[in-house]
Amino acid sequence: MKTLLEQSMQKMKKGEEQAFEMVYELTKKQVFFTILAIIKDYGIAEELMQDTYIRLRKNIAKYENNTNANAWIVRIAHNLAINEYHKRKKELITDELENDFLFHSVDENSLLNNLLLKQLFNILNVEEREIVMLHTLGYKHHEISKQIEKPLGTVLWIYNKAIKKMQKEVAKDE
Amino acid sequence: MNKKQILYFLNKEIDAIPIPNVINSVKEKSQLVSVSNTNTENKNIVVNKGRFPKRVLAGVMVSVFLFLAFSFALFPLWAENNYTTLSIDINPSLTIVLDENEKVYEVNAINDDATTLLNGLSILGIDLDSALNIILEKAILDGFLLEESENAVLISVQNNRSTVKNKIKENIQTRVNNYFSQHSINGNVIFEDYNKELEEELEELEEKFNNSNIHMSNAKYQYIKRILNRFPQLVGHEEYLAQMSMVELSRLLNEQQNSGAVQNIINQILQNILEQLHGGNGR
Repeated sequence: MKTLLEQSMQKMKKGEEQAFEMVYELTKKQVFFTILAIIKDYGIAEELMQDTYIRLRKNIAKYENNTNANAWIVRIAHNLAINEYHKRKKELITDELENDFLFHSVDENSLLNNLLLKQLFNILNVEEREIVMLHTLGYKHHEISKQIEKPLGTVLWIYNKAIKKMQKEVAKDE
Repeated sequence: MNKKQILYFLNKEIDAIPIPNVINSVKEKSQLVSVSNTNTENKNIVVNKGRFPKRVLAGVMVSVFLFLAFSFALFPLWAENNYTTLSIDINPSLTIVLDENEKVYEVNAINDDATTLLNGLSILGIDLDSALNIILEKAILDGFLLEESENAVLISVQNNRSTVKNKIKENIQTRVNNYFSQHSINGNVIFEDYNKELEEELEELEEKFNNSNIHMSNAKYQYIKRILNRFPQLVGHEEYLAQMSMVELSRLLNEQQNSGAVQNIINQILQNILEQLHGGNGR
């Protein structure tokens, strides 16, 4: 049975703008947070999110019907973010999160509650961040393994290592 | 905070972050390219093709023929330009990714023992033979392989080209066997093919484990499945089997049905569970 997303993708292939709106609504969360986990910058993540959907619209003909549309779109986002990450790697400063610019549009009260996200960005490396984020967004480890092209065992290992790091930090704060 | 709580609160925090709205700018900056448009363009090309002069058509056909001939001649070379993933299980379990020149491109630990094994090793960029030597050397140093004792190494090789895969398998077999005989190691090299269908099952199983440090490769899980098929009384005890080294598992697989060894393992599992319960009450 086709999912709503797959049906919308097929309609998009026929040029239906409304179908694109549906695809956007169904995937925007995964796309944005996948990019944010890699790039750690709200503004750049926004630009790359835009690029992801522009690329999707241009390449919609390449989407094979009845294949995992979500994985296909998130893969575009992942590739764009990883390219940008490598490009900016040298420019990124390690303490960038101290400026809290990631949360620039979030009010002070909710900022106080973002303890785990801060940890995710502060103490995890890019690989760990992406795996934890994707799993938090509901992807299974074997789906992540395909997405980032790493063996399942490695993904599970990195994931557990990352969670342990976060648990340790939480214990410190408690 | 346990793993599930971390995920739960992380999800809540993510939900509190506003997702930028880029839909309008995307629509402004790009046009939705529909497949029907592309097809129309293709149809136009087909229609125009009839107007090509015969000489042009002949030229195109010759070019296509030459291109195909070259493609077939060069295909084996192109096809071999892909990466290979190996998994190695002794008790440490690790994966190695080789580039098209069979040099180590990436190495990943799958369990705690592999982290110990890889600690201090630098094998990136070196050829597979040297990498295997270094890994086996360190495995002896760390006590994962025992000289003058029985050992087993499980290896799986993944590559889209079966010729490349088989070549690498043969190479590993020779290299590891040579290493074993040079170091008076009574060792066994076992190969398992990577089984894509087991991925989901393995993930679900690992999520069920009480101990988040227990991980295994796809190949080791396949090997354990062989044991479970042979000794169904061990089904449900995969967590324990996953912690066993390859030499213990290979001994187990070769045991006779109803042998004492299998019963011993079950007894040991029950004893461990009792100890854990006892320890838990004591705290």
